[in-house]
Amino acid sequence: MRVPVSWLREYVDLPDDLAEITDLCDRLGLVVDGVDAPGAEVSGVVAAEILAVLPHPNADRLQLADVRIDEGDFRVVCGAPNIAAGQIVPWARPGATLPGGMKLKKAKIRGEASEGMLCSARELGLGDDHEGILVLPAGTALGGDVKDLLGLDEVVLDLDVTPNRPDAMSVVGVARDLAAVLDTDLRMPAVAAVDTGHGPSIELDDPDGCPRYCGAVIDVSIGASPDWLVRRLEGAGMRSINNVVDITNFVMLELGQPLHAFDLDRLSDGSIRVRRARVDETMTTLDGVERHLEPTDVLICDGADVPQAVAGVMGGHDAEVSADTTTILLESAYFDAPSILQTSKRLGLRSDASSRFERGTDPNGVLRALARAVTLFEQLANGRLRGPVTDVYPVPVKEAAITVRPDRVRSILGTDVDDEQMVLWLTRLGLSIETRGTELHTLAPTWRPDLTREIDIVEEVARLAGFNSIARTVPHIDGQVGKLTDAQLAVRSIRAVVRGAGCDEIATLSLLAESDLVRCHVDGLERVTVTNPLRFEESILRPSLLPGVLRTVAFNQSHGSRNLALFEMGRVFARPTQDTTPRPLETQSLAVAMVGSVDERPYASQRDIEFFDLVGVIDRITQTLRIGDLTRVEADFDWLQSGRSAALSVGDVAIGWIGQLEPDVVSAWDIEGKVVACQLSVDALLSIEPAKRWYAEPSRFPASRVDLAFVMSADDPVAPVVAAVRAGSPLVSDARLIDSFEGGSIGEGMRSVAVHVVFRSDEATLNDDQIRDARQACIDVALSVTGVSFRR
Amino acid sequence: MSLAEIESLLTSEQHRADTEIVAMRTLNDLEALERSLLGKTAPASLVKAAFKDLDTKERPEAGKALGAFKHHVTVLLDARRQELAAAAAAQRIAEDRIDVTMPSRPRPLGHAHLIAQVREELEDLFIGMGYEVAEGPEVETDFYNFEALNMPASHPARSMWDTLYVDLGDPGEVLLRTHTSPVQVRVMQNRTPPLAVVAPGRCYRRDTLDARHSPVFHQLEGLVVGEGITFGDLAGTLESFTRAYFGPGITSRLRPSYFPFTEPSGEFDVTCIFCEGSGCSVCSQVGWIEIGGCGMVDPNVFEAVGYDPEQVTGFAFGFGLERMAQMRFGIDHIRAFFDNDVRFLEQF
Repeated sequence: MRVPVSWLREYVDLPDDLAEITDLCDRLGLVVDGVDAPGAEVSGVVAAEILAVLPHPNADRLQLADVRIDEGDFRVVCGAPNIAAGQIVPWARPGATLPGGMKLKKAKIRGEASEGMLCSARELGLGDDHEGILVLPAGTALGGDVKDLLGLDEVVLDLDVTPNRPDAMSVVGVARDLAAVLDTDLRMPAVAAVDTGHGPSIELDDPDGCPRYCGAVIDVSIGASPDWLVRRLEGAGMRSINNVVDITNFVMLELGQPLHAFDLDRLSDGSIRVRRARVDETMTTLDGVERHLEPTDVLICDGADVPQAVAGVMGGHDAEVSADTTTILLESAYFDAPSILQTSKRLGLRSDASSRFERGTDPNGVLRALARAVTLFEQLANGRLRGPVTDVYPVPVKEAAITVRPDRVRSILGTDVDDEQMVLWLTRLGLSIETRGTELHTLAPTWRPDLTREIDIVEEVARLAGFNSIARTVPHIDGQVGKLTDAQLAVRSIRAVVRGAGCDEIATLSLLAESDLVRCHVDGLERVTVTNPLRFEESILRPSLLPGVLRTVAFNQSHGSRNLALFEMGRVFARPTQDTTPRPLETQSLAVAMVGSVDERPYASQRDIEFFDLVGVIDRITQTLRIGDLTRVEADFDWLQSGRSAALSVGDVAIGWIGQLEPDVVSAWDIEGKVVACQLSVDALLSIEPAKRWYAEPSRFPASRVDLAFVMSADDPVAPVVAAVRAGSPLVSDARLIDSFEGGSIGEGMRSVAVHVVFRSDEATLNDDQIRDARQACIDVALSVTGVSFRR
Repeated sequence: MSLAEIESLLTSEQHRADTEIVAMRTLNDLEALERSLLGKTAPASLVKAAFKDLDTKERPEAGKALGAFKHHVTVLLDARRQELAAAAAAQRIAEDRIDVTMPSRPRPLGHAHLIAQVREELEDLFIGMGYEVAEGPEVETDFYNFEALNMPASHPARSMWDTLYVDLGDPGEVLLRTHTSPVQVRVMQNRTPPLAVVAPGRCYRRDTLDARHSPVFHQLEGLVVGEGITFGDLAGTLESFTRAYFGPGITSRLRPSYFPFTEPSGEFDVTCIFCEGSGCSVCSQVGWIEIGGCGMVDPNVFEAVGYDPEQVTGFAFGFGLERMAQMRFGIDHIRAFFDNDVRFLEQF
């Protein structure tokens, strides 16, 4: 809301220093988004009389104007068609400054010398009017600075009013807050008393949507508004239309109560009926648009039941005030805020009126606003009230009674503001207060619908005391030690070891497009869809981390990074599997992708990243978590190359997948090279009981080592063979694959594998017999794996 | 062999030693020469066998000559041996020499995402102040995101958030959380006061990714509930953490604002870290930069979770992690966090 500072000063004495005023506003929660001083830069622009207008010899669209000030006469080239001899206009003389800092000097325009320029309203920073040169009132003293004449020294505060403060959507409301914090009086505008009784006929069919409706019939003379009124409206960001419309807008800005003037002669019977819209009803609003109405919309209809306004949102086209209007029916009403919000939202129509009604106007300020307008009509539009005002207000809204315990206020805030000060502040805000013992019994004014509870009063006290004046303390939390849970620590460890393996952590959007899933071949996964996305790119909650990771690989390759090792830790989403919650399953997951080459030495050999490099990263994770190696079982996934892909598990617990990506997927993302990737469920990893951390003394006895070689089918996996050897004897302390080759001397389709076994006892040095027996036991168990034979 | 013959032979051998020892180029050759000079079959060793044929008077003299010869040769051999050993060592060092300025054999180091770094740093800071870290779902129900936070259906304040909904539950029931505040409700439902938690996490809004907006962003929420928790505690907590995070020259201020789930509600600002409060283009000349929202937990929120607002009070605050990172590290567009350019990631 735009508030001219000079307007505020009419109701409250303010400090001279602008910074002090903006600080006070900030302190009150009336956030100053900006300070607009449109004329601050304007200088050297004076009122000049046009003596004569001559054609420009070299340009059809330009004219020459001879202008006069007290010092003499000057010639100016002008492009605006509206100038005429005898007008008094703003003349920016050479050396003048215009908004934006533009400095004028003598210039030649199409061959004719021009001493400065004549200014439109917009060129002076006064609104948008660029139609023509601004014509000043006849009789304006020549040579006078237009800054003073036009009020260009006005400073306007752009206040960001929070939704809970309807009262601050008015100049008086802002002034009231300032008066309270400055501990000074608020000067309310003068209002003549009006009689209520049987005025215009008003039928209130919908007291829920419209709890109060006041109407008055007023004879008026339509004309232009006086300068001061135009300036007020323009300062607040509105345009002047005519004196009648301007007065309704002025009162709305001043008091926060929107008013609407109907042309009485165009209202059938000159009467009003307030009702909800019917199904399929339409009406044409002021802007000429035909609106389809819903039964939730409140309508202002005339005596023939024809809708003349969408209540609180916008007037109709038919009964609009025009130059021919001689009598108006002036509406001042209180509408149900949620209804107005709903209607204005649905129609996509936010007007100055609706933005006030939807926050909640003051039901008990309706008549006063009408009376204020009547006073102004009398002064500025030859206004004459015809008969009494009709005030339909079946159930008056009462002020909220709030019991305040000053001790409670102090204890919540942690401050020692005394009762007397509280009473003073609250009184200035408009509360009526009665002290009963240790309690304050207050009545909150109806212009403050946000004040209904003691805690709301606590906020008022804090606001007026100043949030920053309250002593800062730090709470002590009994019985709690700050720490991370084991799971939170484990997640940090996982991220740390993956980083330690050379992978950079990324964070990608969790919203994807269907095409992202298709490109990744993960479109077979069930997914949760956003029903109101802004764009299709953000329409699916990611069912996999892969699309985001691949997008990042592609992005970085296109920016010149060829060797990439990336990981993301984040949630993937799946549809719920049980009826107890409608929320999706969210699984904390880890994806790693690697592409490019491994530098064996930076100045020597390189090799491509492969599947087993990624297995090495996963091993780091499982070792860190103390959960043993993951089982890899060859398995097919749509996005992975068959034969280079595996399902990961621990016992019965599925952990995820690993593999080399399908060439189709890689090329769909314009990625170069072979990409190996995996996705693990971190939640599943954390569900596995880690090995206990308990000291075991390392064996003091020497180890014996043997290598065992086996022959097996080249198609069979080797992991079961190694596992069999490891399980062969309790004396085995380690067994690992040290060699594997196919074909050659072993034969087509066959494979030789060598396993290095370490035997060791915690109790004694092993003798030859023990080693021989253990070795044989390992061989025997290995041979029990189908298709394996011992190679001597 | 006469004494004269012995002396002549030793002289000749000594002459041979004098010329040949210094000519030896390797330790092996030197050893072979040593054997030929002093070994069992060396001429000088044969001399000893001839001693018995000498006159007893001559024997001491012959022994003296042999001793002198041996001493002379041994000294020469040792000197040459030392020379050759030193040369061998020098050669080995020369051969092993490396260019110590060559690039490293890489043991590549990954980098934590900047948002994760900021999150962890803030978590640790609050852990130090006695807080625990709580988490909650990113996809929430209307109840947790709005209703329990004192925003019943059709509450006008709901329009403060541009909400994305998903195709689960009843229409409008399941949504992408617009803030981390639902975690407040979940924590309070599951615990009894006193409690102090921070809840970091992803949030969503109906926006498109560009320099200043993102449909996905991260927040950190704080909640403290107990008997006698005051607004002053809130202000002091914000002051402590902003100072600890941004540095001792930075202070904080509070301004009244409006959130349905806190009363009183405020925004908190910190001294502009770019101009240190003197006013610059980043802070629009005001010297302060807005960080987040805060306030005392509204009694209606306590009632929604079954706490007695007469018994306990509490405060809550929340702010965006992207904004914290932008301010702390001078990042001018939010898109950088989600582009994941490794040249960006590896700067941190």
